[in-house]
Amino acid sequence: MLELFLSFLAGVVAGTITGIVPGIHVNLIAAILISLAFKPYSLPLAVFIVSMSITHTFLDFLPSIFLGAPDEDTALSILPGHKMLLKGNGYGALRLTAVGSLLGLFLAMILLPFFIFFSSHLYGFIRKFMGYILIFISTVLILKERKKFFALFIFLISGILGLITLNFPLIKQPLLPLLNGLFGTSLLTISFIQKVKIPKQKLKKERISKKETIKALSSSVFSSTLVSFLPGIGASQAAVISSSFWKRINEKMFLVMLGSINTIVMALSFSVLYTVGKSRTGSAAAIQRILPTITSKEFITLVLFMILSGILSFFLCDFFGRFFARKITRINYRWLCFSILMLIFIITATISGPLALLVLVCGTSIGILTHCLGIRKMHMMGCLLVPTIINTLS
Amino acid sequence: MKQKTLLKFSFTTTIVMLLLLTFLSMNLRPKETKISEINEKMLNEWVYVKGTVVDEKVMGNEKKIYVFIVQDEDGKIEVFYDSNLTLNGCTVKVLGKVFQYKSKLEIEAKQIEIIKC
Repeated sequence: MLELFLSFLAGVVAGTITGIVPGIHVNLIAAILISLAFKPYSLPLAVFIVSMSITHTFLDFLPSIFLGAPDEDTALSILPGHKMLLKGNGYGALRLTAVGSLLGLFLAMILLPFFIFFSSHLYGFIRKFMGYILIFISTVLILKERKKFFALFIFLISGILGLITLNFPLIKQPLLPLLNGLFGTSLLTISFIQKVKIPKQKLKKERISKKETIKALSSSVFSSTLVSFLPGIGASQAAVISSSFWKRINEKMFLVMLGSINTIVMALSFSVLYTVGKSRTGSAAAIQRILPTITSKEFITLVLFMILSGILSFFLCDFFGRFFARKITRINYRWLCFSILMLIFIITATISGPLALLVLVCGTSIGILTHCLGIRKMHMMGCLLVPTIINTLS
Repeated sequence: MKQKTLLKFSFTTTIVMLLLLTFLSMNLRPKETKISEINEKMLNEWVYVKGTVVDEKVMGNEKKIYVFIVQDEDGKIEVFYDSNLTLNGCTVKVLGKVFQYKSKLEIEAKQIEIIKC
């Protein structure tokens, strides 16, 4: 029991680091752990991975909101998060994602028995129709835009960039330059050019009505369940699906929705591994290697540590949110943007290879173009949706 | 910088970069890997192997998948491809991603170049 608890604490620490530091993903740590050839069939190692992954889903909004440096699951949070940061509500924005993550985790745990029961039936159905569902949702989102032609144009050129990048043999971890370029470095470049100044941050907890929370959570549960069964589709695609549900969605609702999706997708990926035996996230794949067959007892242990990690991560998120909110105004934001831009360039070149810098520059240009055309950044999710649609339909 | 200038600049950069990336992705290949060097750490990574097709089979009912056993001087590996080709005895270069199926490492080919038949 003690070794499980120590693994849980170590997992939370590792998840905090991967969450806060831009460019480091849990998959990287999981892959390193596997390659270090730890003793197989090790439950403590599985607890470590589960705790790290859940903690990561809470903390990874921090660099996205405060620094404009997202990872693959938080790319869409940049816009509303940054908007609130510029109004002095960066802490409030982060707290909304943390509330969403915690509520999402509890909801996922409540729905777990139903999910386990129905998953084998749902798996075949969703697999068959996912391509058509994504085409329908992309069309709805483009038609909702006032400048429809430009929205379609951005969706398609992002899709072309996604297709090239994901099929480029000399680029490792292709999502790193792709999403950082489109959503991260583009925003940082605009902030740098426009000499954006960050106002004093309030440590105010943002309020959101019960009705809005229920709306955000219900669409999150639906879309997260949908994407949990398919490889290569994650929190970002689920967010696009959820957004198409409602006519109007305010930034607070959007942040709660993204927080919950991020955590539900991760939590359900472990359940899919247990029920269908398929790994749909890097963390689930790592657990599959450590525990090739998960017993009911082991699964219950993992679920308990998921809940514990969620509760602890909520408070960690609050702590680091306050810390960043206090410190960010003392820094010259223009130079902070420049330093993070350089950091992203170095991380990308190191992890993904020098050719990935071309993807980063292209993604940045598309991001700036989207900003100049005055359309929603969500259409840039074409970078993942177009390749996913082609893959699922072919 | 004015919004209009930024718009023109970002549009031009996007088009130029997309063309450059398309050209590079079609012409650049990773270094050749020996089949015996392929291991679990390379899962989901691109590899480029050269070898001789020593056997071929067809799998699946609705959607057919073509499987080629490719062998070089040190080892052999199963290569999955979604187009029908008759390659038995041919020397080929395979570009694809490493994946694992039932604890066996295999290659999902994106492109197969025939060197000699």
